[in-house]
Amino acid sequence: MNTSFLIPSKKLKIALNKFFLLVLLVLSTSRSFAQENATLSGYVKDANNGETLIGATVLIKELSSGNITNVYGFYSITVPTGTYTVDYRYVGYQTITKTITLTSNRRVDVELPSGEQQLQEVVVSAEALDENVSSVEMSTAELDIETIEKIPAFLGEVDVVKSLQLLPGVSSVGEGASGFNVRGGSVGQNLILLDEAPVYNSSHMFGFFSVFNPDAVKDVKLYKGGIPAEYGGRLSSILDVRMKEGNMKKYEVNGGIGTIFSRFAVEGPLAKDKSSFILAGRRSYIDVLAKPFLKNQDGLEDIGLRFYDLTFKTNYNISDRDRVYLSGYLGRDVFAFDANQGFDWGNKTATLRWNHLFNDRIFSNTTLFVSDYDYSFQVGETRDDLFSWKSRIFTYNFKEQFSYFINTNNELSFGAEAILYRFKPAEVLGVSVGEESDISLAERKSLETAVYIGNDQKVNNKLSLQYGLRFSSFQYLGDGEVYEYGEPEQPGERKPIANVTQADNWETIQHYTNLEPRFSFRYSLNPTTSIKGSYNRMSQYIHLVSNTAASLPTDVWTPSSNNIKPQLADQVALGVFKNFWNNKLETSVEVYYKTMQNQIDYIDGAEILINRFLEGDLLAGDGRAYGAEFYLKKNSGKINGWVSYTLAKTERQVAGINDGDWYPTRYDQTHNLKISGNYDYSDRWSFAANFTYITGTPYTLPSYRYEVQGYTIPGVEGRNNGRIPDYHRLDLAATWQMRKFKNDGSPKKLQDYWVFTIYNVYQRRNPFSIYFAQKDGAAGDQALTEATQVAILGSFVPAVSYNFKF
Amino acid sequence: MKKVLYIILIAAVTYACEDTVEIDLEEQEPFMNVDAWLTHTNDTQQIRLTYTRPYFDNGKPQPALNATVSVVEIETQTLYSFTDADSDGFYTWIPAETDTFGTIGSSYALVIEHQGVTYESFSTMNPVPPIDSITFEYNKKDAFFEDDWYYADFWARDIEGPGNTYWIKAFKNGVYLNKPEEINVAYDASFSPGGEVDGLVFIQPIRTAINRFEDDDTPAPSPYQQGDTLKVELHSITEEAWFFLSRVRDETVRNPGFAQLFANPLANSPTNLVASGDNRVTGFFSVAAVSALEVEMNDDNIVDRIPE
Repeated sequence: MNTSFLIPSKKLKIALNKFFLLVLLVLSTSRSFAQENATLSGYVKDANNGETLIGATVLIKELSSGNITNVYGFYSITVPTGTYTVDYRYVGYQTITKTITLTSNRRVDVELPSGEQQLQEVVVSAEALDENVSSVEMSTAELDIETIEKIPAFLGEVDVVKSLQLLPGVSSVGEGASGFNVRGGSVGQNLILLDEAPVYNSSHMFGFFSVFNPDAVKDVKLYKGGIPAEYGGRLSSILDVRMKEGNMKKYEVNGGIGTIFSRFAVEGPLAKDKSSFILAGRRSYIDVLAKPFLKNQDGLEDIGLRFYDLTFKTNYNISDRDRVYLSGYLGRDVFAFDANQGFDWGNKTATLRWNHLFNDRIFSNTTLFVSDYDYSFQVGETRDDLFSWKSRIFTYNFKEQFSYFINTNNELSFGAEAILYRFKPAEVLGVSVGEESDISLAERKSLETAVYIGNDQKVNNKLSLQYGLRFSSFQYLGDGEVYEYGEPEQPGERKPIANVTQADNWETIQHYTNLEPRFSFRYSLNPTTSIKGSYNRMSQYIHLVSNTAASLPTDVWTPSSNNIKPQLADQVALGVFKNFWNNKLETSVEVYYKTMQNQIDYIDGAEILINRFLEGDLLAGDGRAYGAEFYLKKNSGKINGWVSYTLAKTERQVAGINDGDWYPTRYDQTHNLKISGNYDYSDRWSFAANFTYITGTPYTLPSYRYEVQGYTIPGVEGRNNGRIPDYHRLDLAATWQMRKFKNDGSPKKLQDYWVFTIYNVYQRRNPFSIYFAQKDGAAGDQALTEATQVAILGSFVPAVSYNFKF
Repeated sequence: MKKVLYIILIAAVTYACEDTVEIDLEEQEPFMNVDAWLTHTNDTQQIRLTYTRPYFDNGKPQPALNATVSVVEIETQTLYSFTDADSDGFYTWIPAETDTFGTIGSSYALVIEHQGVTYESFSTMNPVPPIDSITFEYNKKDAFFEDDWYYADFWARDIEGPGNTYWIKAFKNGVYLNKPEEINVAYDASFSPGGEVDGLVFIQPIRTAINRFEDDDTPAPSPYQQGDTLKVELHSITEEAWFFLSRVRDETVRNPGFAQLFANPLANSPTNLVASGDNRVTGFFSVAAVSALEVEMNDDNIVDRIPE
């Protein structure tokens, strides 16, 4: 075995040395004044079910300073010894105030009762939180699961990913399109993490539903810019989805019967306050419902369409200082044309994590995960004549993260990560009249590694900084054939193969490194107003190869190689954040400018499936995206909701496309307005509405026609030179809560509610695209050519679902 | 394939709908279009010269008249002169009664002189394998067909060695199956380069893409019935011509409805012609050898391969 990939390059060594030197330096300087200080640390949890709370505020009133809990619910604050009044707060929960005397380090774990369980002596803090203004974080989109559940959803299916599209800077190509676009980035430029494991395809049934079961999701956060150094690997965004840990106090069952899915989730303690689990599953049942109708229909009886997902998580508190988590996800979509033919795809992930407290101030998390994404396609009615194709990506990851809570003004984070990818683009078998031909493509291996360090620093009451550096490295590894390509005759044409060599197993064929600086600041003008800015550089080493309007489950991912360079993006963003009415009304305006290098595009007629010479069909170009995002949100009151408006432009420039001139991307939306409102009418009824207005996305128009061999061929003078008409849509939902209390006033065990939704209320035929083709009938000279506008959903879609919990 | 489409429609649960719309397109300056597909046969060889026209124009295209059109067999310097006797843009060369156009293995240059502009192109005549037979597969009546039905297979084997490319043309009762989705091309025995299925009998979707399914009605009539004739031609086109026809199919077959989610952006089909100066040209020049077989469907060529 050739082990050259294990030997870090000189550059990497120097970077590592510098990194550890810096860590040591920070550690030693902080120690010098540790004597007169003491650390208050612990976990903040939900009193009702023991779930840790992410982003809860811990505020030391005397110092007007504090911290928020990390993604594991942990906080640590180091302050001079003394007696303090400490507030523990979280949106929708009662604030708990404790008087704490700190003479030495203290561990205080706090459980916050939710706002619903009103106790007489405690009043839920009327004061809303000003996190959006006071935090250094910008360009993030966050929705809690309660909000997501209230949003009117397509066919009534609560959808984490679709809900995010109601926020500024997030869009999609259209209905049914999988994935989402962030600030002018493509679908493949989002890193979707489910408990730290990457999910390559976030959709069920192409793009109609997302793979995340809302019953198992605890927190969703999307980073559009100002991305912290701990994240990397994609250009545009990081979607960080955290799963629930499971009820620590008692058993609980959640479920629902919807139009598409039935859902069922069980959670509960394995050992009270020490260990818990959650198991949640969903399954579609169109196939079950359709079965009786197809039963006696020859040729239809084996048609099947089903999708399901299963989410599992368990955790165990080994000690005060150690907690382990094991989580897993399994999801699959199956389309069967008949017993032998069809296609299917799915993700499988397993994550093992260990939280360890070295001391009250150093928190570490170790993650190991395995992810397997695969799809397969099979046609052929008999074993003698078939074509079967299977493709998969294995990802193995090891990640070590440290948070060092130095003092109230500095929180250092550092760590390292290694990801081994194994791409198996095609295991293909073609059989013709019993003769076999194996046209499988060789496996490709790659190693992506990164080290990072970042610091959150409060310079003074007005200025906070977050800065960091990520050093990433990517090795394209053998074995297999290595192709070198020559220049095509014209830019934009297939590149000819110039040379083929053989690489040894684990030999480094190509090595890339990148330094990715990250920087954000917040400057408070007054307690309700702040200005924030950020710069980040991102690199992306694996690429989604997709030349269709919406991405397909069969789209391949391909690594950077000797022919494909890593994608790079630089983004600057600037924003103003202001709250009104005692933080009840949040507003923000952000502008961003992003440039992207080595963006992947395709020659006309690119063969992107099963092609050894795929790289010869790929083009590289530049991208740029800029825009302004306006956001206004009312958090509380009977009527709450938000308005989001984005003005944006996103363009590409690729030699060989559009004469090398800039052209708008397929997902370029100039105006994007979203309004989401919720009205709590009574204890039993609440109503919600969404309104969307998006100006038309680009498409390509033909200019002329000509005939060859009786075929009428369109002639084109540019890419994306037309715009489809505007898109607008209104959705409504009503939630009907069943009685929560028995006649004698005691609470019922079964808590249940109905949700009624109408999607696309006024039945607008919103265009997805316009295509040009000849009509059936006359061919050749007399062929009648016409333009057809397609709406994926042309009518309103009503739905009802029943949800329960006991 | 019809079945697959049908299922995707069911599967999508979509309420997809379509409207024909009026779109204003920019007028373009017309330019030369060359339609030159020559075959190693005794047939009249024809080259058509026309001008491009606005996309929505469905009248007769403007012919390019008074051009000098010649094809040269490069190895032997044999000249074939094509003439437009009736001034309609069709330039022809008629072989003698026992003669055929071209020689397998030879290269050809097309040279057109028109209004001071020279248009040129090259092509090669590759060998073609024979078509062994044509059979009709029996299928029981099912939800998609109004009765028991038959589809045709043609049986031929790709020439050994990677990179052979073919165009398969089918004629039912003498009528060419001319819909864009019926363009049937093969790269070796399968679809595309980079994953060649070499030297086998053409694989199933290619073998059976000589059947017209009437998409508009379900249940549909059988593609072939007793007494129907089917002629299949196998043309040994060049790899460039294969790519051109694949591109034409991609650009002209625009699947409706839900399938638009996965459509490629509209783009130009390539041309292998070059014009002198800054002049534009489109179209294609191809030479190919042809093997053909014509049968009538009867009890002798009906097969039932799938056991009950």
